[in-house]
Amino acid sequence: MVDDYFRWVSKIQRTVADNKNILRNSDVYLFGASDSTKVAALELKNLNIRVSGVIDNNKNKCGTVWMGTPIIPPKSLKVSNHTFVIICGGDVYAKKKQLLSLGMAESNIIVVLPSAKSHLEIIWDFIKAYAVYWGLKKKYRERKMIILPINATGDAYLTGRYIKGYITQNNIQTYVLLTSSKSVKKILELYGETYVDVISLGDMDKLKEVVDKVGESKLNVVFLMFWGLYAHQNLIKIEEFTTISFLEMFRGAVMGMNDEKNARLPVFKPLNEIALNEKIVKGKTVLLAPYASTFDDEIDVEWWEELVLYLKTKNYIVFSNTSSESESVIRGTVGASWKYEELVPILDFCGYFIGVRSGLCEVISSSSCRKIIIYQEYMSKRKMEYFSLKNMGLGDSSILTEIKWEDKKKEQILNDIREKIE
Amino acid sequence: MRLLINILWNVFWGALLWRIYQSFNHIPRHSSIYIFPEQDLVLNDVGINCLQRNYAKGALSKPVVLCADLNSISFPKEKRSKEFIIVKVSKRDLKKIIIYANFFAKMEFHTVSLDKPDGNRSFLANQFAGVPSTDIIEYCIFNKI
Repeated sequence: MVDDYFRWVSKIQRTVADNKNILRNSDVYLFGASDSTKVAALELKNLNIRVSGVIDNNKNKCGTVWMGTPIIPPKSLKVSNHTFVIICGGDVYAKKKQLLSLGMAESNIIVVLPSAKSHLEIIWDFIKAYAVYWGLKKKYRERKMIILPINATGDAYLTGRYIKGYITQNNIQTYVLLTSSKSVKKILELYGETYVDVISLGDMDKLKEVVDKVGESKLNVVFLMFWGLYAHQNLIKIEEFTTISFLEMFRGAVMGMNDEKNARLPVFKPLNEIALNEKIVKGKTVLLAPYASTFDDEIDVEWWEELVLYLKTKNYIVFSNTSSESESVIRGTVGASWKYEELVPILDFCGYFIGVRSGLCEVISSSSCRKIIIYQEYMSKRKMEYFSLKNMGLGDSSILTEIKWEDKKKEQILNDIREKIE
Repeated sequence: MRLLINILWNVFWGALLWRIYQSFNHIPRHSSIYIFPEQDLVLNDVGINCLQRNYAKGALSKPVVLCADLNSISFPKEKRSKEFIIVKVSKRDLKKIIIYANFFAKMEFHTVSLDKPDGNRSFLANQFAGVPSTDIIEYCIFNKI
């Protein structure tokens, strides 16, 4: 599946590059504001070719701007000999017909069809994928393979929270949890799950291929994931669903449970077994978490530095949570990459957590420290309500402050945080 | 190993059956094919109206509807042939065609169903009680196109 995706991306890039000479001095339009069109838009940008607009049949999208380009309905397209439209997959023939009916010449319509593997290639790939399934089946024998394909920290936390209930509800006798991430494994171990194995991403893809083609019911495998991610994303847009949180959606759609009856809390190491950093001062230490890998909308470093300066004037010791080399330590702070099993007791001791909304917020939700969580700017009001820890019912809401980030209000947000810190 | 052979055998039959239905019903190549495997009147009704609306505004080419039970579609019979190519397929054949389309990830095939992997009916019913099922169906299956 990963291979298929890259094959598709490279086909779009190649087609755009092959046509660069005719596109350079023309009015270039893309059909449909979608992920595949985005690839074409980026390739055009790399080649310094300006996109005049994006055509879309969705009335709600028309009039808005997508990747810096206006979205227009098909009837607003000004057809001339210099107008070219690129279609990347998704009911190509209907779109082409629609453009032809608007008077466009067929030669001015560039179509990129999804890379088609031959039937023999698909069968051969399936046999290879089946061999992976067969190997794992032999290894785990009667154990049901419960596969966690999403490597997000928050998803892993919620999986651990409900996995025991899921096992009981589905009458599963023996099982193994399979993930492709060591971090997910560590989070699941906080819940006492001992049979967790890490497999490669390639093997995970192959297992998914077998399940997609054969069906879970015929195999001793279950994929714990949302049925169709876009369905889940669309459902949260419906007005009537405003009370549904990420936790409820996960519990219902992934785990098939209706209440918190079988929910568990993770167990952390006792504080006396942890070698505490000597700089930490009880109740006067702040952990900053300025990075989130799923919601990659960063708040500028200067803002964090200003916050650190204020905290220092109030004699706080400040740490920055960094989990990889790409996440730099905020100036004036001490870098920290505390283990998951130590996070909550250390934070209880520190006293404060200030961070952007990420999966880490779920992990530390049970801490008794004061928490200030910033929801990134791109989150709509609905999305913020959906991911709100308060709405999810995680942790003590009296010690939790949730703030919606807005670039133009960053000074005010800083002042609000100052007021919250004694 | 028996399972592997069984799947490949079903895929072969599905491909063969699809070719037969395609040529007997003069289904043009590259048509969008909508499979209605369920006998759910509400689901099928919303599904078919959604297809009709999108065909009318030019967002779809004439859709092909594969259905085992034509009575589960309440769209007026006299208008059907104008808006769609409706093909009655036996339940057994439909199952094999779905296996074939699924196996080769045929993009032109769409299944109008709320069951896994496209949806989970019991979850929707429990969590979203009171929400019009038409909204759920349009959002889940048709991505509100």
